[in-house]
Amino acid sequence: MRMAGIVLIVLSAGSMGFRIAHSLRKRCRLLRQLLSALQLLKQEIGCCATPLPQAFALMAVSSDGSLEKLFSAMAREMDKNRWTTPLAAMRKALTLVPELPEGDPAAQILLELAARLGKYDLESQLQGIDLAALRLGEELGRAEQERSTKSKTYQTLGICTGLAVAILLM
Amino acid sequence: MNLIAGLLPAGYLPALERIWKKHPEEVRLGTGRPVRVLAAGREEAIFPPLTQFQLEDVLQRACRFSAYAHQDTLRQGYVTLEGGHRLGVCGFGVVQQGVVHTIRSPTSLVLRIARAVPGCAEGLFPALTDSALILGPPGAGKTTLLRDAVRLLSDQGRLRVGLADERGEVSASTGQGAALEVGQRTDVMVNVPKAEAVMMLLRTMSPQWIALDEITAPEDIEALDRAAYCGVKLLATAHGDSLSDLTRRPLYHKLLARGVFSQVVLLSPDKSYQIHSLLGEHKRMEEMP
Repeated sequence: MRMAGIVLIVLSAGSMGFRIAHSLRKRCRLLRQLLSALQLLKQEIGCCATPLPQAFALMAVSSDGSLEKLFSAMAREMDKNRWTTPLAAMRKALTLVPELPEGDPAAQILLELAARLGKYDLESQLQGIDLAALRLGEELGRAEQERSTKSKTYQTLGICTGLAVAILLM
Repeated sequence: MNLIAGLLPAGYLPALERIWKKHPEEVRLGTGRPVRVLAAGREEAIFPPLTQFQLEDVLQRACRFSAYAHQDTLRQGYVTLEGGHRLGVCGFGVVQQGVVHTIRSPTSLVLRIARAVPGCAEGLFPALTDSALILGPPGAGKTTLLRDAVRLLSDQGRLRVGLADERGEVSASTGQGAALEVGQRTDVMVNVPKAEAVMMLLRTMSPQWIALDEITAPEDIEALDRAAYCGVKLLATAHGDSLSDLTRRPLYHKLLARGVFSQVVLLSPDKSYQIHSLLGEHKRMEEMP
C-alpha cells in the first residue's frame, strides 16, 4: 500500500515536469505553424491578390489545432460582417486560443500585423508580413533555446520533487 | 440591400430601406453631402452629410479591408463588389513615375447597382444572327441588355458563348459561379483585360459568340477584328448617343471601316432600343478614299 502511494506521488510529480516540458515543445510547434501560415498568407496576397477573408480561410485549412481555430474564426468574422476590420477579427479570434493569451509576444506580433493588413498596397502588405515573420522567427529561436535548455530540467525536477516528497512522507 | 447595409453607417439604413422598395439605380456619396439615391428616375437625399472619414470607411469596407486585392481597378477609379455592383471612386490620385498607382482619400463614391432584367433582350434575340454592337449613353442599360442577350444566346439559342467580363459586372462571377444569369453554355473570363480575354476565349473555349462590355481601347478593336476573322460572332457594348457617334469617334470609325459589326442596337435613356443595320454604312466606308 505504502509502495503504491510512493509510486503515485513520484508519477504525479514527474508528470507535472513532463507536462511543462511538453508545453515548451507545443509552443515551438505553434510558432513554426504560425510562420508557415504567414508564408501562405504572403503567397496568397502576393501571387493571387486573395482578399483577406478568403486568405484566412485558406490558412485555416492548411493549419490544425489552435491555429485552425484562430484563422477560421477570423475568416468567419470578416465574412459575416463588412464592419469587422482585420484587427478586430484577430482580437476576437485570439480569445478562442488559450495558447496565445493577451500579452504573449506572438499574439502581440499577430495583432500588430492585423493592424496594418488590408490598408495599403501590395508591397506594404508583403513588407508587413515579412516583418511579422522575422519577429516570430526570433520568438521561435527563443522558444527553442528555452526548450533545449529547460525541457530536461523540468522533467528531472518533476521526478526529483516526487521522490523528495515520497521520502519525506516515508 | 444587405450589401449597402454593410457599407453605409447604420444611421442611414432606415431611410435607405424605405427607398430600396423603389429599386434604386445608384447611390451617390460625397464628403459634406447627404447620401443621394436615384430611384425610379427621382433623386432622394438622406441626411446628415457624410464625413471624409465615413467615406474612407465605406471604401475600406467595399474592398473588404483588402485594398491590395482591388489595386488594379482602384487605379482605374472603381471597385467591383459582389453581385456585379460597381463602386466608382473619386478622390486624390497617387501618381508614381507618371502612372496612377491608386486613389487615396475618396471625396465621392457612386454605387451603380447591377440588376438582371431577364427577358429585356427578347426583342433583340431574333435579330442576333450576326455580330451586333449595343450603343447607348451611360445608365441606359447597355450591360443589362448585353447580359440578357448573352443568356438568351446561350440558353435559347443553345450556342457556346465566351464572355470577356473584365470588371465582373456582367456575370458578377465568384468562385461559386455567375451570380447573375448569363446562360448554361457561357464561359466567363473575369478580371482579364478585354482584348486579352477575347483572344484567350478564342484559343481555348471555341466559342460561337464572344461578348464583351464597353469597347474603350484600340486593343479591344484589334482583338475583335481578329476574332471576327476567325468566324466568331461578336456582341459588344459601347458608349454613344447616336449612330453618328460611330462615324465621329476615331475608335468606332475603325470598327465601322473593318465591318466587324453588321448591326447596331441603339439604346435610349428611357431604356428602349432600336436595331439598325450597318451593312450599308460599311459599304459607304469602303467607297471612301
